[in-house]
Amino acid sequence: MIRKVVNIIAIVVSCLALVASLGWSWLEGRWSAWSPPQGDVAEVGYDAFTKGAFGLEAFPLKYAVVAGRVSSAAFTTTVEDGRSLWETYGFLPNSKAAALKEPLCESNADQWLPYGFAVTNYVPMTAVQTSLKFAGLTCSSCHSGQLRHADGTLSQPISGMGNMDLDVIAFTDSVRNAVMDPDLTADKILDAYAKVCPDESTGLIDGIVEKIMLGGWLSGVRESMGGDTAKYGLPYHGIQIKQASDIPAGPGRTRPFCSIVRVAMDLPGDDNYAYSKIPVVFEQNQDLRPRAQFDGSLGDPVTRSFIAAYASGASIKALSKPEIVHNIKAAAAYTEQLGIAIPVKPFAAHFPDHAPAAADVERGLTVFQEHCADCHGHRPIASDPTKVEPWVAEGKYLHKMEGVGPLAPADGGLGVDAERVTFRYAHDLPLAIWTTLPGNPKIAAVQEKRLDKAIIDAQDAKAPALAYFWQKQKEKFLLTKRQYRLGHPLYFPACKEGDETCTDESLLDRAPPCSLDVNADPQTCEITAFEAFVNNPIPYAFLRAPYLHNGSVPTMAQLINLEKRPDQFCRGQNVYDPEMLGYTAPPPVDGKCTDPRQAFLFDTGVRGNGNGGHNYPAWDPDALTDQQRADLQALLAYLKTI
Amino acid sequence: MADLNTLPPPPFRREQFAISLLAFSLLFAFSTLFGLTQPDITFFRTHAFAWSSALLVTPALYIFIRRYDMAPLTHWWRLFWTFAWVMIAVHLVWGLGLEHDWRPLTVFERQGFWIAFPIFLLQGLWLIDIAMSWTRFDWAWPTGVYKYWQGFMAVFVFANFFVAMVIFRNDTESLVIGLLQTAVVIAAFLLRWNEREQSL
Repeated sequence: MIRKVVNIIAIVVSCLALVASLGWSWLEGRWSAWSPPQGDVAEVGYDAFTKGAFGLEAFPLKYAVVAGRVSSAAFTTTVEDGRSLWETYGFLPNSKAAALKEPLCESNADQWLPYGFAVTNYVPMTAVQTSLKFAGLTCSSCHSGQLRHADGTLSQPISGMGNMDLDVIAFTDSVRNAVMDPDLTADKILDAYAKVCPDESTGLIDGIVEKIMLGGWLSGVRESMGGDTAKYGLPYHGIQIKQASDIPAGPGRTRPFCSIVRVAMDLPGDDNYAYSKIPVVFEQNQDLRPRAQFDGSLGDPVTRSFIAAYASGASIKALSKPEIVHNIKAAAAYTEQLGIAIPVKPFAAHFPDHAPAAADVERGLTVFQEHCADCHGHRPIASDPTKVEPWVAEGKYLHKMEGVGPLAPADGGLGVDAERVTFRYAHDLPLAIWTTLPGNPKIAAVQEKRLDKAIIDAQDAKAPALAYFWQKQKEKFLLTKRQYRLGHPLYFPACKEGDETCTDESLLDRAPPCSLDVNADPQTCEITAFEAFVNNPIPYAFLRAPYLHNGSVPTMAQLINLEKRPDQFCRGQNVYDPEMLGYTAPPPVDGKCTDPRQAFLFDTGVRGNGNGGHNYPAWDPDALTDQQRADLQALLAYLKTI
Repeated sequence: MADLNTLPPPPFRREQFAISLLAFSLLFAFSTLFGLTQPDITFFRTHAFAWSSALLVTPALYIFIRRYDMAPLTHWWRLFWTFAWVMIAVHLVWGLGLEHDWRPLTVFERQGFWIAFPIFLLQGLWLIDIAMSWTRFDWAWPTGVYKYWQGFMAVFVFANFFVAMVIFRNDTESLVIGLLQTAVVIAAFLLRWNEREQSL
């Protein structure tokens, strides 16, 4: 009898285990079903850029609904000034939100989630797809902006412009604060959600899965962030989140190398002062812009997009999912054509009342050609001011590097703040990033050899700890190589589709470390670390404010020395100044930024915030002659049109 | 030697099926669901199915070594042997399908012929062996060529697992399971040898 009962129990348990496993596998197939969207780059690329999944899921959508309620301590900065949680951190508002009468729920998320948020079903890091929906960042969270007019109105979101309101590092700290809250539980989130959205029901199976996955997400992310505090420190909270003394990046800027050093090298990044404004991504076509980033460190736009997502927290696993790979490639292709085949509204279309006079523009072009075009090329004047002519990528120093450090070309450097290119580990990053993604077997073999060489080089340089570091990197690489046996789908350098002449050997010539020639022409190395900045075209210059790589010069008038560059100014939700071409950035009062909406004190005396250099034309704004002033005013007029 | 067709089949007891099915199901569920907690679900599952197959084949190898050419094989052996193959077939589906994009040639390119070939050969030969064990009357009392075939298959299957898990030892789990399996096989041989000694 006992034997019979045991047999029955064993068979029943077996059946349950099999049904659960096979059922889950079937559901996984359903949740992860995806087919590549069809259409041209303008349509498919735009969708990927603004709504695509990139493995940057911030938190579950239901939590996004109630975050302000259940985690108000974590998200409150004390400078809200009546703004929503999203607005306080500078996310672009959803244009449909004002008309929304119903409560903000999961079902109408597309009407209230800020512009640039995607709704995905990828669990962060593992990229497992379930029925639990997440709110995730996309390219356009950072790379779409709005112009704030003096009357408080906002332009439509402009794809490709950096979001200069976005305080993304502050937001990250708030999220870390929120999920590390020991009182936050799946039940608390779901209970709060049920009160806000009582009419929304989840199916039985989806409800069970949702609850399990929500609990799993919370414990996983808490463990991960809690475990990372040795590398990231504890997050800031309250007013600290908006204080430059605590979080020095501020609105419209990131610390990209702090992030990439952490994720690619697993080293702390706190001693990294390489602040970078969120760059515009117009006209990224490689004919115009063969090297991406301010320092020209990257070649391929797809690699650039991959690194942007990776540095922002997307896992290697997530970045291998077909949908995300598609989005990375489609978004990169979109930025290549954005401003060329895909129109971007020029200055005169945004500010018709401030369109410069044709004669000034013509004179300005002459000044531009004398002082700027050698490095930036130029844009011919369009007959219709609401349109632009194609950029002319011709110039003596165009696409060349302007050095700032020991590797500077003999004819001098740019003189801008050098922290962006001289930070610790800068010269180790190319190999670390390159070996993050194993290539196909042939390329992976070379990656392994280069790691071996790095170990030997470090030993020869009497740097045993560095040798140990590379040994660990190699172990990590070998594990990843086993996971991506045919090569990671985004490994680089890779042959472009349809390029029959491309071979693995030719690719390896472009793999780091591959060149010490700062001005090799063409610079084919896929990823470099020169202590230099690259000269590139500057299409849509009016959308590039504040200027210089670190956003330390609020207006174009200040950049070209028509006006003095301010030592300190307040940043946040600044009004756009169409006259001076940039942001109205008020000075602090008694060393403080008292307007809660512009609470970040930008001090150019702080390390990494320097506003010197790029001194063209090299005239003193306090001692301009009438002729110089007239030239600079004309130059400013021309710059409004490009 | 008795006429094979007249020998009764070894007794079948329901718990043989229940327990072997339970082992298979729990390992299958573990491989499928525990993967959700891992950084790379596909990678984990692919390996966990292989580890599970190694665990399932271990009792089959033990029984085979203890009884081969000495006593009739049992349903325990046949069931564990079969479930182990099913699990390795699932491993193949995940490994070849999801990690190699259903392109067997890439396995050869990556691993080289002498490592890749036995993997595929194992799948085929083991399936043939299982088909015979479920269709031949003499599966429990093999004679002639079939007896040597069964012996060869046991060696071939163990050698494959040993090379993959102990020699290559790609991860700690593989090494531990491989060593466990090897220990069980050695123990089975020692017990078999001891039994023979005592029967002389």
